[in-house]
Formats: sequence, structure tokens, C-alpha cells
Amino acid sequence: MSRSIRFWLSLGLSTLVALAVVSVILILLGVLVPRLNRDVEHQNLMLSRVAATQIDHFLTDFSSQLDNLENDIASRPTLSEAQLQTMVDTVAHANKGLEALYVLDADDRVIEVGLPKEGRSRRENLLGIDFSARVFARASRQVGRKVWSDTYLSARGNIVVALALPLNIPLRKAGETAIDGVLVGELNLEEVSRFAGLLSTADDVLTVILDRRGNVVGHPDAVRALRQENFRNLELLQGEVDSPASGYFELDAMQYLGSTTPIAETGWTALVGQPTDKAFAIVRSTLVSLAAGSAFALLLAVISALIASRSMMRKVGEFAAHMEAVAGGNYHAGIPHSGIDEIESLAQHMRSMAGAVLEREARLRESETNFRMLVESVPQGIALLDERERFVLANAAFTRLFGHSAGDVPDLEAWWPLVCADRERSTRAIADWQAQIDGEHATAGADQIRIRRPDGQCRDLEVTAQRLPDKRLLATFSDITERRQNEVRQQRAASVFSHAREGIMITEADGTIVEVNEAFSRITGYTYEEAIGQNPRIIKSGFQDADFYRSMWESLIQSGYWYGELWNRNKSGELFAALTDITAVYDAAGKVQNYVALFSDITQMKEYQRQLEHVAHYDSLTGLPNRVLLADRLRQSMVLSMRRGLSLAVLYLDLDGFKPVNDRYGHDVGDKLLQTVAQRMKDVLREGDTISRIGGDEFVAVLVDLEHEPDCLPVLERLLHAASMPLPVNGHTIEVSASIGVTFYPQDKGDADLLMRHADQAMYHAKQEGKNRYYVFDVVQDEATLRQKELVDGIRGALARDEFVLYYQPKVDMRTGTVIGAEALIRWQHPERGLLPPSAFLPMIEKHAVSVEIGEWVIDAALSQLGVWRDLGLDIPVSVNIGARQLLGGTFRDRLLALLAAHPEVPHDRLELEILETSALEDLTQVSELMYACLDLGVSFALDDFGTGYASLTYLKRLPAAVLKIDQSFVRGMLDDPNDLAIVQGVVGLAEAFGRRVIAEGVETVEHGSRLLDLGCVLVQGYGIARPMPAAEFPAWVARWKPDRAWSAAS
Amino acid sequence: MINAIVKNCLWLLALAAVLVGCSPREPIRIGFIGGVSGRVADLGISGRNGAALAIEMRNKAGGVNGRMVELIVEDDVQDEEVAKQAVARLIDRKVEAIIGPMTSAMAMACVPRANEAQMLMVSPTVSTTELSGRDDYFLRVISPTSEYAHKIADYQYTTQGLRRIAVAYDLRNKAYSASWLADYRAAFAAHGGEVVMTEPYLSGDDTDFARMAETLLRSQSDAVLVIANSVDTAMLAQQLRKRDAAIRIATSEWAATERLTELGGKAVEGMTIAQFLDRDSQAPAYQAFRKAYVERFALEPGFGGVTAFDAANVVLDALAAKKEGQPLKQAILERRVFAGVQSEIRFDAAGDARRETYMTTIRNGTFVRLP
Repeated sequence: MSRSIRFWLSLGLSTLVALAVVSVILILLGVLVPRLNRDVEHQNLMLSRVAATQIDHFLTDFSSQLDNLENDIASRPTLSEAQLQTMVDTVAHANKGLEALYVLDADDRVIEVGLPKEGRSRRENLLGIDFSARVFARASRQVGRKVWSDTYLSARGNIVVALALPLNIPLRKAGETAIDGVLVGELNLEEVSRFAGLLSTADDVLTVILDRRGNVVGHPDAVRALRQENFRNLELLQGEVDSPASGYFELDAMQYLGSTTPIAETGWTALVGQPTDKAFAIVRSTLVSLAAGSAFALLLAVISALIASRSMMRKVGEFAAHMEAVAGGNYHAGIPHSGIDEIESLAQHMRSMAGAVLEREARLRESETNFRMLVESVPQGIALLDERERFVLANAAFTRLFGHSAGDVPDLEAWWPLVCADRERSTRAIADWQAQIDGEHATAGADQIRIRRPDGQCRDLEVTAQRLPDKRLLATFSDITERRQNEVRQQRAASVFSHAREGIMITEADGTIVEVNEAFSRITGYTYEEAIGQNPRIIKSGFQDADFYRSMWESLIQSGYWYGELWNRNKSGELFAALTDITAVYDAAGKVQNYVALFSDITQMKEYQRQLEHVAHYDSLTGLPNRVLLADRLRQSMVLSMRRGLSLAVLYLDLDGFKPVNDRYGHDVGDKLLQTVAQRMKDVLREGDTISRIGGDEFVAVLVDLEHEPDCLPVLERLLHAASMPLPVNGHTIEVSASIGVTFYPQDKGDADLLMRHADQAMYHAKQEGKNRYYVFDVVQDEATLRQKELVDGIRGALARDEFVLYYQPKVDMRTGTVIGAEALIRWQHPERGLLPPSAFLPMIEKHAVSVEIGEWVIDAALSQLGVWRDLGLDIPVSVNIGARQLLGGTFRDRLLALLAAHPEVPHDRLELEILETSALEDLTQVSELMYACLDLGVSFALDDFGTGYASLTYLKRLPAAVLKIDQSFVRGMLDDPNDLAIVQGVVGLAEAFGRRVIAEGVETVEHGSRLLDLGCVLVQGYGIARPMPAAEFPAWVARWKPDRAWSAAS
Repeated sequence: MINAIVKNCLWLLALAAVLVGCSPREPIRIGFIGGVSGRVADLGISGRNGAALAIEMRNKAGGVNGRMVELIVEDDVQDEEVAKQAVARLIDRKVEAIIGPMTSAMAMACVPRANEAQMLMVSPTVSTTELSGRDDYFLRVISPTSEYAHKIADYQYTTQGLRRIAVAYDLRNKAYSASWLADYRAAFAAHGGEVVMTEPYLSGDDTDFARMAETLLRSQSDAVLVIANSVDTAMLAQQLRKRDAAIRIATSEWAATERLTELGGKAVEGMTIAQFLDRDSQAPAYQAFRKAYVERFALEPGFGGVTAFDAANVVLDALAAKKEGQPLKQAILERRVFAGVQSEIRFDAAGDARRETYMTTIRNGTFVRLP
């Protein structure tokens, strides 16, 4: 195979380098990489051990707190329940990780629980609960030492772990031994996770704590513990976990190198993982750089071999080309380096010759450049013209100035018409100027030559020219437009200054007045001559204090500007308000040169403003603050009193007997009276208190800074006194008084409007109680009234929506086995609270009129039911309960008659009214009369709850009740309590003696019934017979019921 | 020569391109939503575990048509807003279907959003009748509440001879508890029994179980029925039995997790529950599943674990079987019958399923089937 020398040279060199590189790589791979890998794995295992130790410390810390508590409890000779609670609560609150601390008795029942302060309201939920199904608690008692649990769902609904330890509890009564208990502390997994997070702070380490089941106990992301995630499926955790191990595992789509270490006593495992890409980053980067370096070295070797062989062949040819270039005038052509001595020396001579030529050319160019720069750098346009006034050269400023280039025209004569704005005037000026030109400089007038540029802009010119000895003309052109404009602007400013409506004053930096205008003299009264040289103090009024001026100067120094209102004094001593605007003027160095003050006289405006404000906030008659201002002050006072921790009082005053005064003596006298009383009341208030008139003869006062409510009593007395003092008006002596309502803030919580309303309510109270007095608003009663009103509204709504129902409890004759009647009992089918017994709503409205409405509803509903049952063939009397209020309401008989009339199908004797004994206490005569009136209608009566009051015998004598009901409390207790038995016996005896029937309530068992039969009471009702039931079930029950055999046997 | 170098570089580039192309295919994503923290966490966690186990087993067997499956878990915290946002996140992540939610109230909040996005939801445990019979994107693998309510009402009236029942129910999961209560009330009334008191409450750390227990006992009913999660049921049972050791207690299937017995201890002994999980089942599929679950999590699967495992398998089977371009829902309703670990799951046209239900009680800390 035939190849060029160049090819063989390149191949040889490349192969040599490649062999060297490959040997180095093999050595490194064989030795370095395995070693690095081992290092990383070892490091990981160490990390895991450290983590396990630290977790162990953390848990030991936790358990030692429980140890201390255990010692504390066990070491006491005796311990009360309260003491135990305090002890466990204290520990639970002090330890942030503790969710709850349970004390279990020997049966694994919770006898006490310690909770952090915020969780204690629900302690009752946890007391008494049974822990027996918790394996770890049992285990701790059995092995007699601490046992850690796995994660579990706690009674408070969180995933937790717990530590249990045996506890000897010295809670005992006399003669008992201490309780063999267990203490269980539930540890919050967020706390464990926070600790795992601390161990994972290095960004490439993940520390996880796992329980025996592989559930997460602690993880830097606490959520994974709180969600009880399970890591048991990780490869690393597959085998035995009771000794440290290392390996690889995948988690969250990431490859980890990890190690596990058992955590001492807990049986848990600490897992420390490092993402493999991070752990092996160094190994990988070493490999990558090795590969890259080798590849690069190989590439370099190939390229340099190629280049070297090529360059050898090229050198001779290059030198020949160089010679050719120099010969062709290219003196810069570089000398090719051949590396051959002879060729090099020849090339050096060529180089020095070319160098000499180059140097001379450069010097010439430099001189030319200097002169060109000089001419081009001056701001004026410069033109050189030959003796026939043709342009020889013109600088750049010339072209800029005119906007035309000198090359555009043949000579100066053609130039002027091209550029002049005002041809006629300029031509004349130019002619004059040209005439003056000789050996000296000649200048043309500034005002006369105006040019117009191609862009339309006009400029004023000043032209100077000089005839040179060789007859050529050198002309310079200066732009004087700006200078002329400044002159005009100055004239205009001067005119504004003197004609302005605002006063203007200019001072030196030290305040000396240097300039004032005519308006200044008109406003202040000082003439120009009087003002100049003075200090602005001549108009100072003294109304503004030193602080005011200090802040004004601060603003002037900082921002160079101040704006505001000043009260000044004019030459004749009168005050005037000036809206003033001061500006500092600085020199080039930034130092204040002058101050310029502009001001306008706003005295008139201020006066209007003041009048308007007064009208808006003050009562025109009495001059007192009006409602608007009062509301504002009250709000401010409320904020202030809150801040100071003091109270304030809001007083609502209304004059008693003012209207008659107005009617009798006329409005003038009335107004005069209001003015005088207002002034007197204002005089007796303390500093800081406010009184205002809010309309007619009504006033509101706000008393502030009260430490205690009684602090305001002296003021109240003084106000009452001030209002009631006799008053001579137009020859009459008039006397009025005041009624005052008072409420206190913040005791009365509300906004300003509510406070005034409450004070108003209290004032009406004062009026009702006889005027000329004060009355304090009762916050507690107000709330109670509101609550009762809600309940009453609820009941009225329930009546309207038909939510009440009657349940019926049967009354039976034990001897004959017959059902002798039913007692109607009200229930409220509440849409949210379910079925409510009467005790849930009746006691609260006992004294309210709505109780009568309910009572009537009950009678009506019972009568309707009687009708329904009669249609079904069930004809038994029904009794309803009657309260005192209903009975003594005045219209009871008439209402009853109307209700009976509405149910003509029901015989009147089927309705029985049960009167609560307590209800009949007050006026026996009236009750008795009423009962006789009702008996006439055919209805009968029973005395309910008989035996519970004091005057049973009196009632029995005077009230025509056919039936006595023995109260259920006695019946229930009669089997055990001889006193109860005696009362039951007594009532049965009384009934017999007075010829009344007797019925026992609260019969719960067969035994009750038997005993009552023994005593001679055959009529009974109670749960032992039947509970109250819906009306629909009653007929079926009646058909079904049979008395107990024991009773029939007894009879 | 230069040309030769350029050619070599091009060859290297081509090799690199081939290597990149070999990276594994994107996994199939399936979402899970449930309350995996807080008071209902036992149900949420067992559900999440069941779904995760189904997917881990499927991946070990080669995935769905060669693609791995990834489960994305979201916690609804039992808050409607949180649940809606979680579903929106799952939709954004382009999951194929969502397993969950685990409670009815959350389902009521999420289902409209899933329907809007035509995202299939297969719930392991939601049983409110409010979602029954709708042709939408919500499917479930258990029967509606009426089944359990009927079963328990029947048992209480006929076998236990109870007539007057007081009920406590959790408004936090009102969609479930109110539906359950209405079914129960009707069933019990049909027999002639009466619900004499209802005590609604809002589940939370500040629930006053002691007061609730007193109120319920004051009704002097024959038994108390609790419709609530396991933690609340256990806590209320503790308070009830503390005051009346003999009071009979029944609860709905929601509480029937292993945590109920752990938390309740002796207080839940003898409690009656109608549920669909037969823990004594000897069916080989159930035994195999239970073994795998216990090995993986060291816990009993409970009903949440079983139904979530079933729900996940329904989705995985349907994904494997569905034809190109066919919606997943259609694939499920076309096949209709799926194997569950305890019994077959039969979907009707509206995507509701039927299962066996059993009466159980708790004896010595474990659920025991009643004859």
C-alpha cells in the first residue's frame, strides 16, 4: 500500500500517544474506583450508626422524663386524685412531643390523663377508657420495664407511638394497697419527624425512623409518618434488621445507597440513605474526567501529528510567496518562520528595508493628523477661501453650523443666498462686513445675520474674517443664538416678577431680603425700600412655635422646598394667613445661594372654613357639640379607654317637664331654658368629659377615665342637681329636672351607637321609676332577655310549624287490669335537636305568656285526640297538666269553654286537669273559685306531684280535686327508703279520709305495683306499665296490655 | 484525513442517540384519594395500602402490557375544598383513573369535578345512596348503605328483640351517615321499631363524647346505634359502657376496622355490625391476599384494604383489557364481572356493585360472624 510520508508520520505519532493513555486508564480503573466505592459505602454505614445513636439519645431523653414522673409518683406515701392530675398535666404540657399521658389502673383502665393545656377541655372523653387491647401496655406490665409501641391510631385520632412503663400508684383508701398501674406517654410523630429532619439537614442524606412493622415513625417529611407509610418492601429491609446492614434500595423513583441500624431498646430501625447519584458523584466525575481527558489527549495527538507533517512541506513554498509580496509593495507581509538559518537571514534584510519606508510614511501622516484635529476641534466654523473667494477647506463645525457643506457651491458669493434667512437685511450686513475686511480681523454685527438650515431651524451668526498675506481669506463663524435667547428670557422673567398677584420675596442664604415685588408690599404693607436689607422676621407673628420652624428648615435643607400655611403680621400689626411656597436656589457648587418665597393671602378663606366647621359640629342654640362631633369624640374616647385599661360612661339625659314649659311660655323661654341648663351641666363636668345636645331636650354626656363604675356617681349627682336648680326666665321661675340613663364601656360591649341606645333604654327606665334620677343599664339582664326572647320565638315558630306532639302514658287499675286513662305529655319534635322532653324548654318560659299558649295547644290537641280515639272505639279520659300562670291568667274558664265548644263530639268529663301543687300556692281562694267554675263545665281535677309541697292538708281541704297523684320520687324510693314509704302510706290514708281517689306515678317494677296494692293504692302509671308513646300506638297497647300475675294474686 | 475525523464524530453522535432512545417507557399513573391522616386515617391508610399492594404485585408480574404502574397518593383531610383541589391535581397529572375517595362526604364533593373531566373514579368504600343509579364516572365496588341498614335493623328487631333505638351520627360525613340513618329508620320502622332519639354531632378533637353518652342514655332506649368512624365509635362506646355496662351498641360498617377493637378494648365487646368483609373466609384468593398484605404491612387488611385492593384490580384489569381508543369506563362496564378476593364484583349499568353482607359481633377483640 503506497501512502505519503505525511500519512505514515501522523499514524506513528498517534499510536504512540494512544498506547500511553490506555495504560494509564487501566491502572486507574483497577485501583482507584473500587477504593472510592468502598469509602462511600463505609461512610454511609457510619452515618447510619451516628444517626441511630442520636435517635437513641432523643428517645432516652423522652423516656427519662417519664422515669422521673414515675419516681415522683411512686415515691409518695399517698396521693390524691387532684395531685396526680396536676403532676401528669404538668409533664404533658412541658414536653412538646407529648400528645397525652395516660395513667392506667390494674385493669388497664385510664384513671387519669395528662394533657397539654389546650387539650384539657375534653379530658372527660379519655377518662375511664379501656387500654386492654393495646399490646405494648400489657407487655410493659408483664415484663416489668419500659416498652415502646409501634405506630398506631390514637384515641385522639392521630397516628402516634407510645412508651409504656410500669407504675406503682399510691392512690388508696384505708387498708388498700397501691395500684399496680402503667404509665403510657403518646409521642407526637411530628416531633420525631422534626428530629429526623434535623439529622437529614445535609442535603444528600435522608434519615428515616421505622417501627418493627416497617411503618414510618419519623421522616423529614412528617406527613409520611402521619400517614403511616410502610417501607417494609424496600430491599434493604427484607432480611434481618437486628444488626447493621448496608445496601441499595429504590424510593420515590430514586436510587439510594443506605444503611440500617437497630435503635437500642425500641426494636425500631434507623435508615440512612444517600441518593446514589450524590453519594457516587465523586467517583462518577472522576471517571468522566478521565474519559474526557483521554479522548482529548488522543485527539490532540492525531491533530498535532497531522499539522507537523504538513508544516514541513509548506515552509519552502511560503518563503517564496513572501519575497513576491515585498516586491509587490506589501511591506507588512510577515516573515514566514522556516526554521532554516539561511532563509531566515535573507528574510531579515528584507524586513529592515521595508521598515525604513514604513517609518517615514508614518511621521508624515501624524503631522497631518495633528493639524486636522486642531481645526476640527474648535466649536466655531472655520473656512479658508482662495483669493477669488472659492472654498479651499472648511471644518466639520462649519458644516454642522450651516447644515450645508462648502463643497456644495463654487464660491462665497453663491454661499450667502443659499443660507441666509432674511435675505435683504443679511445682504446689507454682509456687504458692510466685506467692505471692512483687510489685514486685520473684521467682525459682522451679531443681530444682523440670520441663517436658515435645511431642517428649517434659524440661527443667529457672528462672522469674523482675516485676509492672509497670500490674499487668501480665513473666516470664522460663531453661533450666538442661545446667547440672544437668554437675554430675551431674562426680560420676560423680570416682568412676571413685578406683576405677580402672589407676594414674592428673595433672600440671601443668610435670610437678608434682596428682592420683593409689588404684591409683597401690598400684602405686608412694607415698601420695597423698607424691606430690602431686612430679615423676614419683620412679618413674623409668633403664632408658630419653634418646632414648626425647625421642621420647616429641615424640609428646606433636605429637599430644598417647603410648602404650607403661615400666620404672619403686616406692618400695621394685623395677622394674615399666607399659603407659602419657599424654594432654595443653589449655585453650581450645590450651596444655597438664595431662598425664593411666594405667598398668597388666604386669611378670608380661613375664616370661612372656621365658620363652616363650627356649624357642622356644634349645636347653634347651646354651643355644645352636636351629635356628629359627639359620635366622633365617643369613638376616640372608647379607643383611649381601651388603651388605658379604664372605663367610660355614656349618659343619656332627658329633661323632665320641658315640653309643658315650651307650651306654656313659648319657644323663646324654652330656648333660654335649654341654654342655661346646658351651660350649668357643662360647668359641673370634669376636665376631659363631653356633653352634647343631640336634639330637643336630649343630651348625651361621655365621662372618661373611670377606674371603677362608682367614680362617676358624684358627676351624676351634680348633673341632676344642675338640671333641677330653679331658673328665673323673663320674670318666671321655672323648675325642671333630668332623667339620666347610664351605661359603661367596655363592660357593655358594643359600638358607639349601641352604647347610646343602651343609655337611652336606661334613661326610659329612669323616667318610669319616677324621673329626676339616674338608672344604670343592666348588661346581664339584657343578655338574659335576649336569650329568652330567642327561645320564645323558637317556640312560637314551633307552634306555627306544628312541631309539638303529645305522647300518652297509660294509667291502669292493677286489680281489674283495665286502662283507666292516659296522661298527655308534650314533646317537641325539634328539626335539629331531635325529640325534646318538656324539661328542655318549659322551665325557661314558665313565667312567659307563651307558656299559656302552649297550655292551650295541649288542651286542644288532647281534645282532638279524644275525638279520634272515640271514633276508633276507645273511650278513656285524658289528663293534661296546667301551670299556675295559665290557671290564674284571668280568662282560663272562658278559654277552656271555647276549646271544649270547638270539640262538641267529646264529653267534657273525659278531660281531667292536673294542677301542679306548687302552682296553686299563692291565692288559694281564687284557685278554689276557679276550680268550682270549671267543675261546672264538667271537667275534673287532679293534684299533681302530691306530697312534695308543704301545705298538702290545706289544699286537700279547700281544693275540689277528685284525684291525688303521689309524686314519682316517693314511689321510686318506697322499696328502700322507709321515709318515702311513710309518705306514700300517708297520702293513701289522706285520700281515703277525704274521699279522694289516689294514683301513684313512677311505678317501674312489678314489685312497686305489688307493694302499692298492699298499701291500698290500685291506680298506677309509670315505666313499669308503659313509657309515654305516640297516640297512634296507644289503642294497640290498650288491647295488648295485661296486668302482672303477681298483682291479680295479691288482690 | 479531516473527513475521516468528521465521520467518526458523526458515528459517536448516532450511538448516543440510540442509547437515549432506550430509556424506560413512561409509567401508567393511577391516583388514590382518601383520608390518610387524622380521625379517619385507619380507613384511608388501609385503602392506600390495599391499592399500593395491588399495584406492587402487578408491577412484579410485569406491569400492564409491559408498562409499570405508579400510584399517586393524595390526602383529602376530610375537607371538601382540599379534596376538590386534590382531584384537580390528579387530573392535571394525567392519571388514568382515581381509586377513592374512602368516605361519602368526600365523594359528594369530588364526583362533579371528576365527571366534568370525564375522569373515572372507582371507590372502594363509598356507600351513600345519594350516588346510586347514576350513569356517571363514579363507580364503586360495594353495595349502597340500604343493604347494611336493612340487615342490622332486621337483626335488631327480630333476633335481639329491640324496639327503641337512640342514634348518634357524624355530620362531618353527612352524605354517608344521613343516607344510612334514613335507610335504617325506614327499615326499623317497617318492622315496628322506633328511633326515639337522634344525636347528630361534628367529629373532631373537641367532640364531647361524655356529654353525648349521657344524652343518649337519658332516652332510655333499648340500644344505641352509632354511625361514625372507628375512632369516634370506640370513644363513644367507652363513654357509654362507663355509664351503663350493659347497654347494647350497634354500629355501621364504616367503623368496622381493626382499629375499632384496638381503641375500644372491652367497651366494644358484643357490639353488632353488618359488614361485607368475612374475616373467617377460607376462599383461596382471600387467604393469598391476606398473606401478601400481612407480609407487606404487618397489619390485618380490614375492609378498606380488601375493597381498595379489589378497586385497584378492577382498574388494572380494565386497563390491560381495553382496546385502543376505548374509554376505561366502557371497558369496565363491558366486562361487568370482576374477580374480587372474597366474592365476584358485578357492576350494573350505572357502575354500582353488589356484594354479600354479614352480621358480625366483636368477641375477645376480634370480629366474629353471627349465624
